Amino acid sequence: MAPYLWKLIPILLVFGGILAIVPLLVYLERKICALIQERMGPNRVGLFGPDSPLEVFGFKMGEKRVLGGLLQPLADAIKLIAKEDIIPPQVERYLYEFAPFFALLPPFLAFAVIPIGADLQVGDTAVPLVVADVGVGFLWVLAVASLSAYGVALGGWASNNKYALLGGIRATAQMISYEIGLGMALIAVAMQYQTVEPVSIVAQQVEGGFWHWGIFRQPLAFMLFLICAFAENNRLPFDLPECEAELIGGYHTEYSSMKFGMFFQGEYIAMLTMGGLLATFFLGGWHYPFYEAIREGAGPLIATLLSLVSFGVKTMAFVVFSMWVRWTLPRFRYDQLMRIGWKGIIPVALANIVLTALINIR
Amino acid sequence: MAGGHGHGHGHGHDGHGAATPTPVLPSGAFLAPGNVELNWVEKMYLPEIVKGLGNTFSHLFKKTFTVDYDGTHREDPRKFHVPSEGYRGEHYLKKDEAGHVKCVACFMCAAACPAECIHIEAEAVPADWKDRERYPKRFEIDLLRCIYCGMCEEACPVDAIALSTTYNVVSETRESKVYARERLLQRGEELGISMSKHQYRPDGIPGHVPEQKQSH
Amino acid sequence: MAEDKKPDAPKPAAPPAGAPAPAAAAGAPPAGGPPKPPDPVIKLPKAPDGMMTLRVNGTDHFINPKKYRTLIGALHDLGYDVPHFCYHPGLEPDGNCRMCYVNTIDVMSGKPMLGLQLAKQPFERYPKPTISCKEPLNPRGMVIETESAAVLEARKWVMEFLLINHPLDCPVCDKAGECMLQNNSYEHGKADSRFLEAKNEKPPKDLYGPEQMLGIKLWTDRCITCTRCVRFLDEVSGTSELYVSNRGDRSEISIAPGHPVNNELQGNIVDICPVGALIDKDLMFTYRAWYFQRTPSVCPDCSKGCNIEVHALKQYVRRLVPRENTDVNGWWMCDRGRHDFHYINADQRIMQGRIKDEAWPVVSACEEAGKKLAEAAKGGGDGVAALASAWLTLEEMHVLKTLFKDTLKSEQIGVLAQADWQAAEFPKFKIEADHNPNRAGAKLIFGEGTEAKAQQIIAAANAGKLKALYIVSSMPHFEPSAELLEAMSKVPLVIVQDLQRGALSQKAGVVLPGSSFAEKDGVFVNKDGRAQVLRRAIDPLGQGNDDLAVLQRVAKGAGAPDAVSKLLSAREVFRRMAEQYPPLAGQTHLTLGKKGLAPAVQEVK
Repeated sequence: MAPYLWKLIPILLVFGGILAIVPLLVYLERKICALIQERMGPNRVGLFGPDSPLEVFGFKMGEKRVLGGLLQPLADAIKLIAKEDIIPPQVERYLYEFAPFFALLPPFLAFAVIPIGADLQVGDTAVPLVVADVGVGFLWVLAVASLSAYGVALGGWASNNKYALLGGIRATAQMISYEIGLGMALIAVAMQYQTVEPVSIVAQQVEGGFWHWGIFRQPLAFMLFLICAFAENNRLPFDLPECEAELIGGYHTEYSSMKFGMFFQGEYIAMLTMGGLLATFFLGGWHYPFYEAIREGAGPLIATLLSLVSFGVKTMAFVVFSMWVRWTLPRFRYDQLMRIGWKGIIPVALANIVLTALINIR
Repeated sequence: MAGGHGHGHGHGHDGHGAATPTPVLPSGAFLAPGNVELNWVEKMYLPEIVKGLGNTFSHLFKKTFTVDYDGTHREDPRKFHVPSEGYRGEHYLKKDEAGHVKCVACFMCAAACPAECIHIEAEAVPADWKDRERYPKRFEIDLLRCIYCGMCEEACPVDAIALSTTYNVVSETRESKVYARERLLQRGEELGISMSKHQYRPDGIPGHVPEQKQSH
Repeated sequence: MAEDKKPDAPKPAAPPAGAPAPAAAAGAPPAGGPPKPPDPVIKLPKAPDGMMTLRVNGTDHFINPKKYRTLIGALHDLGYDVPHFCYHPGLEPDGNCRMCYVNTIDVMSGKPMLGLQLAKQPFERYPKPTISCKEPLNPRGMVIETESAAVLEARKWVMEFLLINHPLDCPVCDKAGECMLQNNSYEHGKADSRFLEAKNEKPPKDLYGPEQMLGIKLWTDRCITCTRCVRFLDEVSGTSELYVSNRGDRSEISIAPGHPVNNELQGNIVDICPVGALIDKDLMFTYRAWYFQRTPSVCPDCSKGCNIEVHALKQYVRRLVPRENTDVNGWWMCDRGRHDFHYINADQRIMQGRIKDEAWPVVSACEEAGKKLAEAAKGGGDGVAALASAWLTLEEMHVLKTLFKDTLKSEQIGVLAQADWQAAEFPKFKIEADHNPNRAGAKLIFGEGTEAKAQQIIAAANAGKLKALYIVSSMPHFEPSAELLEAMSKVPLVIVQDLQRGALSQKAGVVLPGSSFAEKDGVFVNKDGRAQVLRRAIDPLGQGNDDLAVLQRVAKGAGAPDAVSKLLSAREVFRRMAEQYPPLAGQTHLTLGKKGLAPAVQEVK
């Protein structure tokens, strides 16, 4: 088989995996929100709804209402698709139609350089589970992630609505500000591992073992990255662009139906991407304890599958954490947001770079 | 940028190192009585954020407050939501002993209704109804306009209209939310509360039912 | 102070109570002659000539005593709320309900005359509160209290007595909402009843009237025996069909044996009944009084022009009731007029303009008709003629006249009128024979001899000399003569503007929607030359076009100038046209007011 055909495997894994997980994230978000507020959350539609005849270990799943509503994302999707697509007369038509795709695409692209698992051993061929092992490494990530600001800014501008425009402007300013912090945190990581290639960084973490994970080598960079990741994703406490109380819906005020759905989806995919980056740079990528032993004992296929699971768990940990934070912390004021970005995060990131350089003098 | 950073720290030092107890604040800012200025550890809010996260995390496993209002667990009184007796839900009309609608079409409910959702057309009764003169030819309640205030029930002089405790009232069309007389009567029968001893036009003594009318 | 003076004051005047003292007071006081009457404690300000001083609750008013029959009329006119049941300004006072108590204060002693003091002075005649409906006005001045504690107390007891046998079935009583018993009980009565014994239940009775009416239902148990209906039938209609039978709390209104209620004014006893004892069967059980929209208007059924109020509900005219205008109809109206409104919302009404041979109604039928008229008038104005009815308002007649005279250059305008009906005369009311409301107005606008002119026009049409004929009828009971119908079939273009589909509209080439009196604003001139304003009670059924708007649209189609063809309101049209008709000069709808203007058009008559 031609080697480029093997590339289909990581492509399908990344693309299909993300698309399959995103609806579940919506469900997860609603459920976590509900449980934190001591409510039920979605519990009507799906396998574990109230009328479910399913019994697992003698428990009637219908009565375990906390699990109900698993098919709610499907119902949401059908609703979003079936809704009337209202295009207000005052919008800039082409950019208006174009913006949601721009919001959706960059997170996918950023995922391309992230190794999602150990090499897949098929016969003699070792298929690396990364879509594109490019030499520029996370510079690609930074470059592509910047593009997602376009989706938001264009959406806000093309809507020709003051609230949408304000949301778009805020989003642009915020994303640019926090990208600096994000990039600087990653610079420290690159200095630590002396490479910019995610594959190589993961390999070093795997080889070095648990204590070589970025979170232990670069704890300050980890914190900065975490904070900037929230801001990049426009998640609470940094969701100023769509701040409901002031801006109705922010940049997607004028969007409806599946166009809104695409913005919505883009936000969750961005979360996944950020989770993947966090896992890659700080949590050892797909690495998990006893990887070598399992590889020796159970064979490379099992080890690779477990590595996929490991990567997934780490990614989801970030996602769940960001949801948890969302339903805990209130929103910042815009001036506070900017002050934190420029007067807090960037100086600390600079200091971190200097510190890393001093430590790593050979 | 570094200067800005340094300035931020210096600012904090000024606040603590100054001899005067009054904190130095940016121009225009002030501390409300009872508020204290935070030191730089507190200003990072990290301990508070962790505390908050812990708080919400503990809520994840608490029992939910949601009551089962839709009747999934109708057989389980602990879970099934039973509204209190005074709950004001869907309306119904009552019937008298002869099986006629008790309403005398006095329009009191319509007059009392703040949402103006009750529409009545009155008419003289059929010849064989001996106990009164008028009854509602049409009686409609637009439940979409209704605010369930219960004024109609209070205004009714003959205890003909009442609000039941039925609260989950859904329908698929707007038209079906306009309840006609027959539907309101049927609701009363379904609920089994359509009869009442109350008599229209008591003869002098409230609640007294005259003999000749009882025989009818 | 009053206490001090009292022992001195009455003594000299005590023996000659009665005629001598007032006579002496009236004449010049002779020096040393008969004893001088004492000065009153309360000194009322002197009223101008012909007026008297009336001090009510401490406020002095100067009134003309000859204007009022009794005290209550003056008090009502001055704006004091004196509750009453049996008193009606249009009837002789009876004084049986005892509700209109007021306190009269002794002018001499300055004390309210309560208790069992013996009357020793001419002014000291009132040992107790007095009923103001029977109290004549004393031209020498009076001091009245309408809100004193004793009066309020007395009213409360009266209300309690009145309600003893009343069934209190307000929820099912049609009078509720406009019931004097309800209102007075709310204002002046007690909230609870102490009466536990069985109430008198008296049988309901049916009063069947003339064929126009379904009759009146009499609930004897609701009755408070105020005898307003009895007095009305005695005094106004003079037919005396009702009387009070039995005594005490068993007294009830009864129908005179062998003499059933059958007169054309009996609808008024429903209006004047202060309780729900008399209910018109026309609307019985179907309404609540407070839902009606009440619009002041003028009855169009005869040339008398009774002032009425149109009661409408949800764009349906539900009933007509008389409105007080002592110069025209007093407080009354006849049953013919009262029940002649069912045609307004009838199915037979023409709602849309239609043109012959067109399958569907034509929205622009009015303009089309105007165009056709203008075309017909091209060969010479007198080829087109108009027949206006005597049911049109002045404004409509004016627009029609201007259209024909100025734009179409035609002098051919005649006036159609409904045939007379039977006049009827009662002691205090008269139904005119002329079944048209605005014949005098037609004379004012079109000039004399227009009805004869109508005959000439019909004759000309029959001779085939007319090219177009525009009939503006809007008469509900018009029966066209055979000649007219024949003439219509001989004219190439007949435009009919009418209320209902009928003989006229069948023969017409173009049918336009007319409007009834309840749908339009305008001015009628009654037989005495009194111009009275009628006001729109419901929206015009002809797609929002009342007669005036239809005429203006026709004029627009005919190419008339803006002054005629612009869709102006009747008020504006009247304001602009008034100068052209000297009797109306300077008048507007506002100056005519609710009661019309006294013979403004007298000279035309």
